[in-house]
Amino acid sequence: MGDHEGHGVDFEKKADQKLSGWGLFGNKYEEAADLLDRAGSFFKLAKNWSRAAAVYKKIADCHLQGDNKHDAASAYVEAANCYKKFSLQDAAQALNSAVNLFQEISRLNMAARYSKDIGEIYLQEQDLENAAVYLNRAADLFDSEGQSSQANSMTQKIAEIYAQLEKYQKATELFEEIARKSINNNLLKYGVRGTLLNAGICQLCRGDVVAINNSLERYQDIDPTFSGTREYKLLADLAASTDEGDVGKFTDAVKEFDSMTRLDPWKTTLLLKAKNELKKKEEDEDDLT
Amino acid sequence: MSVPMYNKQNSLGTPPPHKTNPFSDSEGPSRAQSVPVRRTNQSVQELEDYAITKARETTHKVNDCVRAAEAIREDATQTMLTLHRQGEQIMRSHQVAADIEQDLTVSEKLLGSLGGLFSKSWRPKRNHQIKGPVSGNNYSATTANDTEQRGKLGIAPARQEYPSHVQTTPVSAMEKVQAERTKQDDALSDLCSTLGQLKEMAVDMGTEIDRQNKALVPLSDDVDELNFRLKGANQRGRRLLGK
Repeated sequence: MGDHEGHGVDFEKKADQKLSGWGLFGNKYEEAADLLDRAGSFFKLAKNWSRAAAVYKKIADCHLQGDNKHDAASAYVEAANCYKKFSLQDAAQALNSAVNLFQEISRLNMAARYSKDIGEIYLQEQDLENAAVYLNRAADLFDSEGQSSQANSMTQKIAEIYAQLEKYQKATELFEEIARKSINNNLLKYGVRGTLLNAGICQLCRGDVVAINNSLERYQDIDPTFSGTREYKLLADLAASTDEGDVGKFTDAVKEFDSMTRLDPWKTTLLLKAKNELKKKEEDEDDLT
Repeated sequence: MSVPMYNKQNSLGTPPPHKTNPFSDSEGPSRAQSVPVRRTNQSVQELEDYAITKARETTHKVNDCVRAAEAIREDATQTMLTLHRQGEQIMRSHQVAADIEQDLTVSEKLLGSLGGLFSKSWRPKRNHQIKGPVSGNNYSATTANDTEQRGKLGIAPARQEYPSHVQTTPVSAMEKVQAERTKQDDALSDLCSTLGQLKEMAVDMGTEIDRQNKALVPLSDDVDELNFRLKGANQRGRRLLGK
């Protein structure tokens, strides 16, 4: 282990000498980058991630000096992989530098992939605002590259984040947009009922009964088969129980649906919010009487 | 008139051997025969309880089937998404191959113009023209109004209406069994529609896989052609450097 570390330090010193010297023959930045790359490999073997990350950032700088943006971006990605071992925040910053470079050289697919990675890092860190920003960027890039399925899956994640941030209107719009896009595709149309259920749950959290009922009619227009599904029945029952202010009926409807199709954590969280709101209303009415 | 042996046994209060279901007539006379009322050691109450228990068991099993079908449907939906993504990837790969071909054409021109004044002019060998991907989205050609139009025509699958269960608590055993039957009917209706959808999904999956298989043939041909031309360009480069 110490041996690897020593080799890494040696190569880094050689690279520094190369950079501080005169580059008469060949490109000193290119040669320094090669030496630093070997140093980085040794630091990785020694599991000295912070040193390895710093070396890869140096490599990126060398490539930028030589106007080689593609290799610089790749070096930032390597640095990010090292940062991931101890500092997700730094990893996100390194990936952001890579994304900007990939966009400059029109490698939009790579930019999209790494934007998605940044979004997922922020999700891991529970920084939902930033996660939404980067996932949005990824969705736009995937869309511009004609990768509609990837763009859709990003949009789905963004909508879920908006719902967690209690931006229910925005979340509903995004879910409905996904449903509209998917309904005309033989492969994606089967997921529409799930997407519409998500949209309906977001509407439910807003607590506007009229809006919920209007939405159910609108979903019927999007997917004519929707009214025959258990998802529709759940939404209709929840809307009715919200209208009546009946917490028991609300719970029964959720329980009945869950007994057939297990509700995922996201839906559970939102339905719990809706239920608590309903409870509050019920208690307020009790206080008034 | 002699009374059959099993009747004698029953009148003594011992149930016939190996008989698990008290409703089973397999060992008794045919239903057409008039049988004298026989006393059993099982009261009507016990039989009713047994009927209700069995009905509930059946309901539970049918619900398990629905649950399993729903789980399969969820997985199938995910598979469809993956297939869609895979189709897009094939399209993109083919598009990239076509882009590489354009760059290679430029490289071939440059390699052709290199070489000394007296060097033999070089023309790259080509087997066939690289066409690139066939226009996409031919797999998503369902019209949005298709289901609606089928409905208007009167051939759409009957929409599954959920009966509004007026929750009257059943009193008699017969009512309880009937309530269980209603639940079973609902569950079977659910199961039926889910299985119908699974069949549709299987057909769509098959169609898409078939489409992707067909799309892979020209992609493979184009990649082979690229490989052939790239080797030719490398050979030319080596020859130039060897001079």
